[in-house]
Amino acid sequence: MTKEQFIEELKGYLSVLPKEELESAVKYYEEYLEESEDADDAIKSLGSAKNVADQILSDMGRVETSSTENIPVVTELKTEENTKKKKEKKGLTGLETVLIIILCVITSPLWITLAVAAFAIAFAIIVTVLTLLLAIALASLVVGVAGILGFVVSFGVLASADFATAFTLMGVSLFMIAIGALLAIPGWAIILKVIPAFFKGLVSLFKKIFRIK
Amino acid sequence: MAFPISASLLDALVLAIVSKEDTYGYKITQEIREAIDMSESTLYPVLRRLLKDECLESYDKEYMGRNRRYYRVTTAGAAQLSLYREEWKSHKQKVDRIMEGENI
Repeated sequence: MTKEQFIEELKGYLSVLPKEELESAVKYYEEYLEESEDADDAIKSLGSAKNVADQILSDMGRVETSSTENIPVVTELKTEENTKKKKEKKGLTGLETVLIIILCVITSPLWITLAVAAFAIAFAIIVTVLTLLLAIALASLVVGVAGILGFVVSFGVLASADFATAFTLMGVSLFMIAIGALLAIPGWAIILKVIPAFFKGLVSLFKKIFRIK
Repeated sequence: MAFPISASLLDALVLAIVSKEDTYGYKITQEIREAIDMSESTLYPVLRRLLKDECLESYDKEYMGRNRRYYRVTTAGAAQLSLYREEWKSHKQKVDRIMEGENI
């Protein structure tokens, strides 16, 4: 295996790490191979890139130790120092949280207005679309019913022997029934499918928002 | 080697080596390998940990047209090393006493 292959493989195995850690490890091994008199020998004694990567990852506690070397993590001497540092860090993030809350409160006249406007626009769009769908559905109903009534009435006219009026009315009525049926397919289908889906989406959205908070 | 090497022993050895003079990864590895049977891939996690614990700090220096990352012991690292030295001394004495069959 060449030096380049080794480094590429190592990069692959370490790709789960943050960029900084990855670069630091890759840089170390690039330098290491440069320093050795015989890069091939050095690669052989390093073992596989996977072995090298596993050592790094297991030391960071990301995977279970698979190496046969016995390296218990003994850091008792440093624990006191570590806990101090952790406490300091927690204090800082607490202060940061407070600052962020203050910032939110101070800027609230701005973002509340914007939020209300955005909400109003979204609401208007939703209402418009729903109204449009309802209008199509109702139109199909009205046209269809009028058509059926006209068709029935045309038989009455037929009985009075006014054939011209009767057949014209019958034709127009059939035409209206057809238009009503045509509109009904998309109109009612949309209403039956879109509205329940819309409310389901709305409910899950609210659930998500409240779970986060 | 018959005796397993603990992480703290590696830390102690690295700190001792770097405290003599600032040096780089390859040389530290070779020096440790003269004493104990450590695989060549063991050192990087040790160095990384010591850097993170601020026992060591690193700086880059050019050598023959390429970069070498040198390590230097910090004040905290020096304190840690003297702790390790004391611990090792007492550990060694106790083990020696038993191993060499002395009467306690």
